[in-house]
Amino acid sequence: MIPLPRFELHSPKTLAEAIAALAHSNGGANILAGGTDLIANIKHGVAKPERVVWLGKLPEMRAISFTPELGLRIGAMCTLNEIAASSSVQQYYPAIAEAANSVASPAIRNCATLGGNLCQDTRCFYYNQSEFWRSALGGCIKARILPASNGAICHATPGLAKCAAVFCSDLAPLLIALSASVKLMNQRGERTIDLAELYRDDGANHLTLQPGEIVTEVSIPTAEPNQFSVYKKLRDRRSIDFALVNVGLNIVLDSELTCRHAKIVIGAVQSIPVEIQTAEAIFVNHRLTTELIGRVAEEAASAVTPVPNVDEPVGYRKRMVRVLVERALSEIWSRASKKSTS
Amino acid sequence: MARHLITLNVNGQQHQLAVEPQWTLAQILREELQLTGTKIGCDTGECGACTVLANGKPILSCLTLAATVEGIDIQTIEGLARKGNLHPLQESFLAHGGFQCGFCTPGMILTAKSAIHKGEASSEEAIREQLSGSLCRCTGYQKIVDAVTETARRAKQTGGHGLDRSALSQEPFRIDGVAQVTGAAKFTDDFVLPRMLYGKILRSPHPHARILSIDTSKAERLPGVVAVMIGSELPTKFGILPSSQDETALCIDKVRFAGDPVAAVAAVDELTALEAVQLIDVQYEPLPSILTMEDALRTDLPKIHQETKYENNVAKHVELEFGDVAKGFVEADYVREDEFFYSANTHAMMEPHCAVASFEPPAHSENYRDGYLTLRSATQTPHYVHRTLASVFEMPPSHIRVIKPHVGGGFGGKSEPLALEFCAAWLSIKAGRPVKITYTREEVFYSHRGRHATKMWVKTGVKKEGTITAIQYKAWLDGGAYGSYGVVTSYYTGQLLTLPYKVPCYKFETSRLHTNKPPAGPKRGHGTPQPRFAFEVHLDRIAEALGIDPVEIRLRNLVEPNSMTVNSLRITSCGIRECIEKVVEASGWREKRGKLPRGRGIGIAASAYISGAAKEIYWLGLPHSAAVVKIDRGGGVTVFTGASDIGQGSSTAIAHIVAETLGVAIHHVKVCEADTDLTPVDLGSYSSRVTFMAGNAALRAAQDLREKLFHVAAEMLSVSADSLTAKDGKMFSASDLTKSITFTDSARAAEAKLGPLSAVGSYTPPPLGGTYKGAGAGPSPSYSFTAHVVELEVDEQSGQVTIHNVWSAHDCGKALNRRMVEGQIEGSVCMGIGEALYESLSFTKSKGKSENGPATPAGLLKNSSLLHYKLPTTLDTPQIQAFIVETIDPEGPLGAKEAGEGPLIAVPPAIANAIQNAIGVKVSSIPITPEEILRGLNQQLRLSKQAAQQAEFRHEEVVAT
Ligand SMILES: Cc1cc2nc3c(=O)[nH]c(=O)nc-3n(C[C@H](O)[C@H](O)[C@H](O)COP(=O)(O)OP(=O)(O)OC[C@H]3O[C@@H](n4cnc5c(N)ncnc54)[C@H](O)[C@@H]3O)c2cc1C
Ligand code: SF4
Ligand code: FES
Ligand code: FES
Repeated sequence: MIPLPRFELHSPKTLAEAIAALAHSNGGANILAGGTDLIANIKHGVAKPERVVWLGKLPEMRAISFTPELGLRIGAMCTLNEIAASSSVQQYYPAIAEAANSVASPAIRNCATLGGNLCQDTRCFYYNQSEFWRSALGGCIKARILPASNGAICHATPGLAKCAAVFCSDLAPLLIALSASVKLMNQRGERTIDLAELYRDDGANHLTLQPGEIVTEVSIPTAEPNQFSVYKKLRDRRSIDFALVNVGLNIVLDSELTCRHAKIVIGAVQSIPVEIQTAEAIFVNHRLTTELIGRVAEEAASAVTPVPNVDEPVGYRKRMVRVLVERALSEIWSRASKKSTS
Repeated sequence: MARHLITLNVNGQQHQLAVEPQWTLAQILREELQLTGTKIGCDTGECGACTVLANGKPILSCLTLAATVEGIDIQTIEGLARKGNLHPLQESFLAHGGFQCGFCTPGMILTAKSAIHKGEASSEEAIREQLSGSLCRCTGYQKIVDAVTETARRAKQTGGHGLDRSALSQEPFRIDGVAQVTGAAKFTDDFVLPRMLYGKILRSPHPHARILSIDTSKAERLPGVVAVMIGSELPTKFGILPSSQDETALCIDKVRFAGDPVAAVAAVDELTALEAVQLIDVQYEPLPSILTMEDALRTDLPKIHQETKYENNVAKHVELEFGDVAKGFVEADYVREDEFFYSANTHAMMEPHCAVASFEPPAHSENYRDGYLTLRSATQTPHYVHRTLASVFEMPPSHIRVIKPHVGGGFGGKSEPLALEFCAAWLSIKAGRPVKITYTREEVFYSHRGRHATKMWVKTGVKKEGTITAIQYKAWLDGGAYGSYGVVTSYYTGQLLTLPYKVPCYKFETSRLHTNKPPAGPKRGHGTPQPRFAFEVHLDRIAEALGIDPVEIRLRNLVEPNSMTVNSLRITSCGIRECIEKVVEASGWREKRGKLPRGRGIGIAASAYISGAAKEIYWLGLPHSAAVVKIDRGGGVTVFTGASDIGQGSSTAIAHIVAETLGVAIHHVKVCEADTDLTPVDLGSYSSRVTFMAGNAALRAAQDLREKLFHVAAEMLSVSADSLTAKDGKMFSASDLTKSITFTDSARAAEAKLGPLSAVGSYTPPPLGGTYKGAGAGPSPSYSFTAHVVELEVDEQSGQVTIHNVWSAHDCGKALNRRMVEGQIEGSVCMGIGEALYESLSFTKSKGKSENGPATPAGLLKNSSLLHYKLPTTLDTPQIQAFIVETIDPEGPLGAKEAGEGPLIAVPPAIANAIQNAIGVKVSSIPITPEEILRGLNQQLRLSKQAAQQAEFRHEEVVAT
């Protein structure tokens, strides 16, 4: 077995205790939720916590509630299977259930949490390797291993002075498209930010969390009457695999199928989920037609720059952005047309 | 570090445990509670082998900290059977044959249990979804899914459990079945010996470098470290083939691939051992690395092995011609030439390699050679390990014992002595304590010995009606850093290309090249899936050019039973025609081919494979297999066989042969296998030789015993021995059924008369093959035959392929156990799908510049995990329909021949041909990736535009005759 290095484990029973345990740790602490990302990363030596704070004993972080006024609220410690099985989610936000069900494999989804999914580390095949492997490579900006190579580089995008590791969450793109916000808490207090603001375009430091901050809850505004949301994921195998590209899409149409609001977010191609602003501009106030769908999909594809740190070529993934957006919009189109004729 | 006191509730029992915070649940279950039915296939969440139930829900115990499951009901496979009653799922896995090596089985059964309980097993689709995180490399999932479907159906009917036992087949699927489905089967890593140490190996970070110095002093000083070793302590070279003795236990003065082992440490626990290897300071002088076959052919680069006879990195070159090929091409009406590529892929058996050594030091001597060494190893070839350990350690073979416990699949990846075996053994000798080394999944990839990447050129001449007049084949094989079985591969890839077709003249030329990559070797189908892919795709192109149906062109060229091929392979039983007819009919080929909508396609391919090699690896003229059968006074039968059951069920096949011969029920037959102290030599589980050779050896021993029993019984019954039959636990006269005696009584009488009852049997293949140099590789006492039809769909937007159905027919001579043969077929198909669509080793390429060479060094294996190296899951594997064709081989035991490898070989070309049929894109390389399909479609678009201008675009690919 791959032995885990020694660390302290805290299992706080209240949020206050959890915050305190994180606050008094000089930054060497990691939050442990389901562990499906963190434990694998510790085994690979890419996370080296001195202290691990497990949030599994905090019932207040495991609730799912829905009210028309407040929308959907999901505690960060809810597992992906709980979310997918929740009747509120299935009824009002079926795309969220779909996204949750597309993560990893069923057993992983029994442990994997929403908070962990949104805060999971970025990925890169020059990095998600054993310690031996990374040192054989000579390290990189994110894996600052060898002091000798102080001019650390990025193997995926040489010449860029920034890590481009890719953020592969399946939930984030869709939740951003749904204008979700997250509640954060640390010893300094509580704040709520748009989920999109949780991310920063730096693969080596992709979260904007303040020291000791915990994501406690995710809120999704109530769906508008003619709102359509879709999630699409492309992966090599039909299970286990991370996305090569994923798309979260949320659109409000009026009865004439004219677009009133649109958010298209592409994931798994860069260090942050990419919101396609230009595609939205083409879209809003236009009627959904096959021609328009084609144009938007084209625009989405040209707006992303997939990072060459998986085996599938960049050109292929770019092309797949177009295919997925097209499929997602076509699905909405057919759902919307059915709805408007019925 | 402070331990936490926790209470774990496992299988209904409370355990008070003091655990370190970082211990995983898997670790506690396996090491503290000795519940070793929970398996570790990857240790990082990628395979599902470690699945247990937490409050009834499957979770991965390798990613779960033990301290986080306090107060939760944990159930492991050991907790499933109650009071001697198996759980209905366990019964069903046994009844359907839902396992082979058993390594994935605990996780599968537990996951299935939860799915049924939650009502998520209502359809085959739902079951596949629920099981999709558990990888199985053996079964192809079909029988697992069948077993779960059946249990779910019954659970629904009876409102609870309950399996209709009468529905179970009388013949047990496997003699080790109950152990496999209850988690009781002990694999090497499940052994924990008193005072055992854990070993770790330090590996080279460079693909090619000279070792300047190794300083182990810091590692030796680390508290907890007990022994350290480096290569120079064991300088004797070895290699599986006498002609390529090019390895040492650890590298001595040079490393030849990134991952080559350099030093090893034994310490009190794995963490300390890991820390210690990192403290070893190795100074290297990097050498230019040879990473492509083109570079291996260059003469201006350093040689990877000085001793080879060529000036470049060619390791072996073979050129053979049979008949007058030039004339054959002249006689052809149409000649076609194509180029193909087959990527390197690997076995990825679910059980990582593991070796546990223990050493009994000599009482009256300082010399370790006087001591006794015992090695348990997950190997397919205990005999070769035994032999090589004796040679490298310069110890008498009688002082070394090699035992093969249950093995979780091999597929060729465990069929020669490997670094961990020497290291565990040597560290154990040095430390005077037992040492265990288990490879991480990453190390399994470095150990490799998998499929050679192969570049191929094929040229074939045919008559108008499709009969082949000549074939010419050339191949470069990427052998990686060491010899392994590569010389054999170099022959097989050429010698076996023509089968299953009749070819009047044939010429081939193969070169195996050394490169600085993990060593290639034998993987299921050894050297033949590559040429099969090339030739079967090539043949479809020929058929298309001639306007002949692909089935028809194959039928017109089939090899005949009892014939001799042009390269002197003796064909005896041969059911290829029947195989093709079966799959053509079952698939509805004639209704479908050419009539499916665009995007959907159907393809065929056929193959043949050896049932063991007629020539042994080292030529001593000794039997290839031997068996001892003994009968005790109570009527129990024990077979001692060197044959290694690696999950394929060879022990069951052997027990079946012996039971059948002696006329006793199979549950009276025990098999003691693969222990060099106890069992006679068998060369090992490779080349699909086991059923045929070890089966024949056991058959002969059993026949000998039967003769003795008949002799005594005949006297007692006053009938002639010739008239006796042994069946159903009795010996009786065929002509007078009242003249009968029980097996046990006859055994007692015989023992009284003749003394203790035992007999030996052995098998040596008859002299076969031609007299030319190289005629030794390819001949087999018998060949199996296979045909597949694949139906699939190509998504023309994403390039992804969905396989809908595979129909496979395999001629295995005689199925000794139908579920086992079907299981081999289904597992082969699944592995073939992996090779065709997903699996390929991928290495870093050099990029940029820095002070010491490229900023990104080349030659590091990028996908050495089960996440990045993609085995098909339940959802990527279709319904597989396996058909058994029986031809009763005249020399096979009870008519049987191989089934373990043959059914894989023609899967990739059947898929490639179906893709070509679906979208008209020509597939020339394996794996067939989505982006290549899209590239092909783009090219098609371009070409069809061009074609509008110049009518005959196909012309350019046709070589004028
Ligand atoms: C084989 C395999 C396949 C996978 N496939 C996918 C996939 O297809 N799609 C996908 O999205 N993911 C995938 N994953 C990654 C992972 O399983 C999921 O992202 C999962 O949702 C992570 O949740 P967790 O609760 O297990 O997180 P953990 O591992 O517990 O935590 C992940 C990270 O988030 C931080 N964190 C957790 N909770 C909080 C919180 N409340 N506040 C602040 N920080 C927090 C942790 O400190 C840690 O850094 C895969 C993992 C494996 C091993
Ligand atoms: S993207 Fe570059 S810097 Fe970031 S992990 Fe990959 S190689 Fe390292
Ligand atoms: S061992 Fe846990 S998933 Fe592979
Ligand atoms: S039986 Fe599934 S891995 Fe061997």
